[in-house]
Amino acid sequence: MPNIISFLIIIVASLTGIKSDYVTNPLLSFGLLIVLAYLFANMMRFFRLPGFLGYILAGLLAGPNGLGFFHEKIPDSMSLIEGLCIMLIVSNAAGLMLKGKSPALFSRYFFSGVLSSLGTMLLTTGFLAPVSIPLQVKIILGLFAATFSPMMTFAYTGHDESHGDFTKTAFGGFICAIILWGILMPILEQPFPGRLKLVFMPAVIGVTSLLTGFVWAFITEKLLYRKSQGMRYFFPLAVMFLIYPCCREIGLDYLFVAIGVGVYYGIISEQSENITLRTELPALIVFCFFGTKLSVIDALLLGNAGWKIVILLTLGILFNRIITLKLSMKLFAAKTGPSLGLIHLIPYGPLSVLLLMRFLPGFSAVPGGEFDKFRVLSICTTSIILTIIIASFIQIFADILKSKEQTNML
Amino acid sequence: MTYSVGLLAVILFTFITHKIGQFTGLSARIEILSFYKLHYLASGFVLAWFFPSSFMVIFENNMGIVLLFCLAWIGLFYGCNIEIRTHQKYPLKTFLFHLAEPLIVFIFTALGGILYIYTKYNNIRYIDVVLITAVFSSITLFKRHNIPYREGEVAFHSVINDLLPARNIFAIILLCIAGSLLYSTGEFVLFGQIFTGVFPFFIFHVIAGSGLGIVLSMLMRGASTTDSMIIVLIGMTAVTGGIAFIFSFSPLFLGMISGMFLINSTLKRLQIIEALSISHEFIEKIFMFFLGALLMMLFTSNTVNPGIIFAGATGIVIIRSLLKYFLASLWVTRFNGYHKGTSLLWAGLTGQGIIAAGAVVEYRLRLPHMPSVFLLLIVLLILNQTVTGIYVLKNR
Repeated sequence: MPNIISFLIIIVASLTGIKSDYVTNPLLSFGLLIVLAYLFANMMRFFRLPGFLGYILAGLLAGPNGLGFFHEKIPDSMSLIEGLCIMLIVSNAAGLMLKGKSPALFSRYFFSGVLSSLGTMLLTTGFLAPVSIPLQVKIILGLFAATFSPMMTFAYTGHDESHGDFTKTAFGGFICAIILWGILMPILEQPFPGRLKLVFMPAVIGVTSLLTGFVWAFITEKLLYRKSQGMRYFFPLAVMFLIYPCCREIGLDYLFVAIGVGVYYGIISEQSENITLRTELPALIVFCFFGTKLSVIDALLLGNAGWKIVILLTLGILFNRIITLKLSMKLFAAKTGPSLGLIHLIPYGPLSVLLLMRFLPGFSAVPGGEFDKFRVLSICTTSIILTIIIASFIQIFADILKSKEQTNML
Repeated sequence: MTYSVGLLAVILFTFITHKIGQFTGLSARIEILSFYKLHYLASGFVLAWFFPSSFMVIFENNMGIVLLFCLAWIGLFYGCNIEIRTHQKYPLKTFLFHLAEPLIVFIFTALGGILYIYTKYNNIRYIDVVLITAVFSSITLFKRHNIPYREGEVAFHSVINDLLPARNIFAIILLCIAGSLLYSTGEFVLFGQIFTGVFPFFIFHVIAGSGLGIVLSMLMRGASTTDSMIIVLIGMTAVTGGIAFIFSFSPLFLGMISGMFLINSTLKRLQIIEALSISHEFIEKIFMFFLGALLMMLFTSNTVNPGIIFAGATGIVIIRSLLKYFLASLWVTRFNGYHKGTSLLWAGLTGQGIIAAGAVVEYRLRLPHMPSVFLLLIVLLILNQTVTGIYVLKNR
């Protein structure tokens, strides 16, 4: 009851603030977003759904496409915080994936993800073949379908050891998608000299950034780390904070730098046991910001998207991902996993949007120019919402089935 | 390239600091200063040193927001330290000492400052600067160790330990009112209505702070884990900071009232204090780092003469320390309440911690066009902390 009352107070105060134009202060917007996310997460837990879905919902509601507590310019000014939070979660996930596991087992799941991503891309592009949209757009949508989101999978399965392998698979799918985006972007462009060199650019940047992250983690552990209670929590943030602007200056990819740091902590570090990361707050920030980038108007009214393409794409993604994942896991991982568990790999997350936002503007060859790019973005974000909703319903259904089974056993 | 040089500088600085820390003889001597997080201030200072024109664009854009958040947090943290029932057992004599001691220091420092200004400029045009410096010098703003378990003490005299929160609340109110009266327009515009004077200032802070405290308390009732408590505390602190900014309130004061309301109305007191303490260490470090960077940026601006500021602050610290020593001696020997010696009481009274740093930053936010006041107060604060550290060390 107190939560409901406080929720109502916050909503009423926020709406009054919006009306009086008070809610333009970034700190106030940020605070309101956090409190709303906390309340929505509690609501989701009440329905036995993961709390991070509440964070996304809060972002969706409060974002520029929702009630507008969060103005379009504010997420830009918060990019430092968002970037740092993403780095923290990614390095933590990478570290946990590699810690104490055999490389052979890791590579099995990784390659099953790679294969699945490749298969999804090809199948989805084929799936969209009868639709009357330009080929480039079909390929972009296919690439989007192939982009797995390890952070979303990690959020779904992070606390459950039995589903930990899905994160590795999603990680493989994500890396494969980056390579595919990078290769296809220059190929789809109008011919220009040195075009083929660009094909290797994402791979080169990725590997360089990964190595830099690895070396950076080693340097900071040797030079900056000190065994103390305060340092235990502060150290990961300090490591990311110092390297983040350097990534921008030198042209490194901060995501891969974070993966490099995580790889070091997972494989080599002697101090990783002494370093603790509380991921709840960074996860809240990342998923809320992810929510603000989605459009509730598109999802409900379909302003820029089109129902036909969105439904086709969503169905294609669901079908193709499940098929390719089952197949690839059988081939590489020799384990299909519980069939409903595969749902953890389906929803898109912050990293999918990050990749989409990064690569989509680069496709200058999209017919129709900026208008079509905007439309493609709307289609993708609407599909993201739909896949999350479908995954949530399947999760609720799975929970009901599980509880019924338990009752029958008793 | 510039950033890489700065990065190398920070690593080198931290490396040297850690290497020094490995020499136990030397690190034991400066350990007390780490209690004040002065090394983080120095770290921010050094990092900003390498970027005289622009330190880091994203960092500088977000600096004001981060500082505002930190101020609201510090206020909330100290507000949560004020439990009314724990302050009801102390004798009137002790309370009187805590009221009289800062008043005496204030009178002497203010008179000294006014005399100096009058003899130098032959008028009293900087009276507001003198008054605010005197208020700042008179008070002791400090924190307790290990508050989650209520076993902590400031390692100084028991008089300080027992009544420190009561001193802090008095000091914050004084600083906020003084700052508001001297350096703001003295007007509040709330939903189209204009209010002026001390009374509305105080009343609106109490109303807004209590309102935020009620919401915070309700949210806390639904929070079951430490992580969710941290999320609620951080979210509501950001809301407090934002509201303070919009209505020109004092974030420190507003945060303190909401914290006070929360801790006195909740049934989860220990859990809340634990959640606060986990985050506080973190935020304290970030705050001191940003403060160091801010300090360096102002030092590099040509409008300020660091030499004069440093000399002035040193003079004030000497006068303040002597006065505090005299009053501490008087208390220990004449009133004969305690037998632990003058030095510990003196050291406790001289020390100024993170909350004082918060007060300084609040003045900076109120007075963006007068960097010299900020510099004077911050140097004063650093010197006070250093003097206390050295004295405690000597008596160990």
